Amino acid sequence: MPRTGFVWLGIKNPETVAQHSFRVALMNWILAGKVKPKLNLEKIIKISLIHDLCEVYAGDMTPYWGLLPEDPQKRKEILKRWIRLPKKVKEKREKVKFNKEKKSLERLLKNLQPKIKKEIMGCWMECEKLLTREGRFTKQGDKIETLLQAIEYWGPDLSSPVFGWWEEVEDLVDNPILREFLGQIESRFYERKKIDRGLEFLLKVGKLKNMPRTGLVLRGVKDPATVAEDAFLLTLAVWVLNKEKKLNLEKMLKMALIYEVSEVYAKDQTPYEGILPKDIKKRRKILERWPRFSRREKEKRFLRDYQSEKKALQRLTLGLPKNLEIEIIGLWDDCKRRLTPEGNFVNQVYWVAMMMQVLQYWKEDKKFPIFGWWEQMIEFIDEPICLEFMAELKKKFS
Amino acid sequence: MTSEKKYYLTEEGLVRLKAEYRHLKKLKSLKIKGEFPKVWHSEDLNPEYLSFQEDLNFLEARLMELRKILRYAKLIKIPQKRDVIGLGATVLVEVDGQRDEFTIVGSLEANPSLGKISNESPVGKTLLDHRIGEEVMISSPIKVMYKIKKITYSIS
Repeated sequence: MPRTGFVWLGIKNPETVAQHSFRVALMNWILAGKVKPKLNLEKIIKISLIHDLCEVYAGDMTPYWGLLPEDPQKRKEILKRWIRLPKKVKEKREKVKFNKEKKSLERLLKNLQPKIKKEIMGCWMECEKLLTREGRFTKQGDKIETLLQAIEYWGPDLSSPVFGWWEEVEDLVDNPILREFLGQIESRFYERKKIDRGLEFLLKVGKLKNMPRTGLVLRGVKDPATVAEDAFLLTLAVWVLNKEKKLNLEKMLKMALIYEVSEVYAKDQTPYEGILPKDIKKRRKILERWPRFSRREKEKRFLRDYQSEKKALQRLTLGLPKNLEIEIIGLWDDCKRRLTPEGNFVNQVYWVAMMMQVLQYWKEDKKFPIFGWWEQMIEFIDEPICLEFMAELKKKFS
Repeated sequence: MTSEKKYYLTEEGLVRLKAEYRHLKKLKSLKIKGEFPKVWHSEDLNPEYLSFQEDLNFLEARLMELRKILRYAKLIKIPQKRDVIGLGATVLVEVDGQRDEFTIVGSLEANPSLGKISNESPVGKTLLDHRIGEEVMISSPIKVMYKIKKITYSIS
């Protein structure tokens, strides 16, 4: 689902809601960690993830909904500036938007278990109605991420639509840490003097929004999911599938968010690396099944990928506050090597989330090679919740 | 009497979990001594205290789990019948004409990317107790035939 504002403004293949939500979650986690008194980071990540889920049925209702003329040129002119309306009109429009989105979210959540349904709805309300410190922080971060994306599309040029987003954040953002971050954006893009490592990190991670998954490209999927979209799906799946109270959910959500960020620099490796021939027919044949190797070869391949990803992650996180750098690399290592119950869980949810993703491609195009994915699942998964989910997937897609 | 779940571990895995247990115990005692926030004055819950409490709760939960694992840990040893697939067996199989190799380990040490398959995964579970030469059909949730070519044990 592409973001409406960018579509209206003529951006070709603009970012999707999932890609946006991924970077909002990552950015809010990193920035919220600096806030005193402490914010609940688990809550911040959760709200960031679901703040736009209501758009599944309601659509992306931008602040301009119902106010734009048909003429594309006039429309663009209006979109260049932040919308200004009388207070009463704002309140009325807000109410209509809120009701439509709430209904949409309720429809989306209706088949979930009551506990998780209530939790997601609660998180959405916190953000939508600015009920808590976490809700307010997330809402402000959401707008800053959009501004950042707009600057990435148009550059800092204030005669471009970027101006409208600056107006919006100037109206909304009051949190000192987020104000400081806005100052860093200003320095970086307008004064070109101060380079903040946190901002550079988030700009680099933004590249994942446009990075298609190699495994899907190899299988000829048109318009494949990107690394950022997969990270969004994984993080959401970790939250929804986690039914074990003993596991540290905040740690797992962070783990899911950063699990693949190393791909900014490292290659998106597939298990078929180095074994696919140039001949398309032969290549397709190999991709139909899960590749088989000796134990020694598996270790060799794992170590190769592990080292290249770790190096990439070290490069990406270099210059971040030391504790954050250590935390990110530690979380990634834990998940990659399944060192703790949390790492093991996220690692397995990663594969079932991928399975869910590829089954949707297979549903659209039955030529999509699905059998190899199943072969992998039966070796990779042993968590009872994931096995149960796998059986559900089989039932739903057979 | 309820039978507790056994946690199958290699020597290496057991050493690692024991080290984790010692580290977390030390961390817990440090946290209690040094980081406990002082009295909070209002009736509102102090966020520092809440965060501290959360950390401590997870620490305690993990310690409890580790205690349980270490109590019911069962060391994987080389069995007498070496032609049968058991825990610790490195198995060479043929799947659809391709050769594959992995070791069957307990759930706590599994990492299939490294060639260590859990005894609780559909493949691991089904292959247990089978012998060289047998053809085993894994049928959950898809059907795949595994032909067992070789079984070796090399766990110290």
